[in-house]
Amino acid sequence: MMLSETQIIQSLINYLQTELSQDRLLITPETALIEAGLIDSLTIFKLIVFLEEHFTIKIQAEDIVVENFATVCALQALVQRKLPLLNKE
Amino acid sequence: MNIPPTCDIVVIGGGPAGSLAATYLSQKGYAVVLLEKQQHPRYAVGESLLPDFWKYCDEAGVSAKIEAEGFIRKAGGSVDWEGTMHRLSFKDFGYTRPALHVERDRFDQILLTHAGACGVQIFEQVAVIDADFSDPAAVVVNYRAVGEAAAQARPERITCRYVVDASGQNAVIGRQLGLRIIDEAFRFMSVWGYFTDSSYLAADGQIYPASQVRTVPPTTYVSALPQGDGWAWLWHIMLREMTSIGLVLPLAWVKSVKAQEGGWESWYLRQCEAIPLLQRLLQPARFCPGSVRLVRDYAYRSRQVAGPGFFLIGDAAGFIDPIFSVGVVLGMYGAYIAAWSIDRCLQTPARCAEYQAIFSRQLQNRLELGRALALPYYQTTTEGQQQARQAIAFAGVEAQGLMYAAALLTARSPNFTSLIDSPAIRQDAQARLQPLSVAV
Repeated sequence: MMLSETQIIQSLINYLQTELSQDRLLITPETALIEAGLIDSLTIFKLIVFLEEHFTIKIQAEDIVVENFATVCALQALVQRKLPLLNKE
Repeated sequence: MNIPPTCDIVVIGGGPAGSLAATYLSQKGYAVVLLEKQQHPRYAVGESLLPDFWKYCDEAGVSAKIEAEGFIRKAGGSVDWEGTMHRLSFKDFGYTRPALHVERDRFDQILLTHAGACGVQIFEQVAVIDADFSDPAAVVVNYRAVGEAAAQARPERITCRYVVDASGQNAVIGRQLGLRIIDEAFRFMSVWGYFTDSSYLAADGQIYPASQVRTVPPTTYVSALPQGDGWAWLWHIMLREMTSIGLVLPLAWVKSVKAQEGGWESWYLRQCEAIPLLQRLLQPARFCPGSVRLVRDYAYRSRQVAGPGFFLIGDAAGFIDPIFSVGVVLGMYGAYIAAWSIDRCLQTPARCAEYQAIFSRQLQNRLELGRALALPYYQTTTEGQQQARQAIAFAGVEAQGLMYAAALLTARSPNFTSLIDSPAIRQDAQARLQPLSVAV
């Protein structure tokens, strides 16, 4: 399966919108996820499970820095880096 | 006692961290055995809870039981630091749920009972002696009955996949493995006791009698003490029937004045009388004889908080000056991420070391942030600074503002100016501090 940048962004927005925001908030690729209260010390662990299972990637301890989780765009870049070469365009 | 010979996870200790870790794991479907040395309800100190604790209780499904108990809701803090007095209200920082002052015997019992209702097998008056990690896939925990059954009790054992050490300052596994590091730069001692009928400070800066504590929410009153170069401080926490008053003092200062007559109790009462505002609050109060307790040398951390077969959480992982009431929330956070990590490890054993590394890094980041917040002269490595920065960045805007304001109140702000980048958060925090003057 090839995943485009747009597909990754859409999957991330769907997850954040339905699971973490429970549709309280409209999420765009640039929404500040931590400031908006969507990602905190607790929900980030749910998000890591989603990232690993949905994209079949491995998140490491050093990946969990605020720079990688600040926005959907930052998350997309993280996912893209973690995807096996096969999946990249 | 019918402690099974095997289970998935053994949790040592039935305080908030242990009870919540056990609850989360049981809810994920694991067989969890919790061994508690004492018999609940049992005494514990650490009575002030920040509003952040609710989300961990929501996750465990225990919030309604805590709400139903009717603990004292606190409005914020009143802080008297070297001649300047300020107050801060949690609602000014965007918090919508209350902070609480809790009797820990009752609060901890609610969490432990809830763990039992969620399927955790709980055995009280059982002391863990040590654990054998020679086979990381089958950890053997050695224990012994204490209390009434102790006389004929022989050491017994239970085998599990993981042991979670939530044994508080006993730090059973941390000590066994030599992981504890006493904070040499921060050798404090705490002495505390209880009074009835103390007056208190509310969020409006006025003094109210104890009889109004349920109608006019109290603040936690914190004051600098003259002993020891601006490090020392006191707490005044209104509970439902009593008031907890504690002094945190540099150990070196305590040693220099130790040759006092009358023991700790009269020494403690003399210290309380020497603080004008505290004396004012205590005018109608009665001291509870025999209620004075003390702890020495209590700041420490762990060089490692997880390893093959084990996780350390709560006070068993580290303990810092309790000045900003972060201890219980930190314990609950550790419980949540330990349960997460154990679940991931058991589902994907090949990646266990990676999931333990995630747990370790996140918990150590939070502990480092706690040190930056609590230590008066915080000095750390560049790595420590980075850890604290990461933890605070994930804490969200409300918590960042609150921490910065709290740091400003107690002259610990230099630690924070280097950790919080946003000038807006700094300015907002400053603006939300309200000057306060109380006629003594």
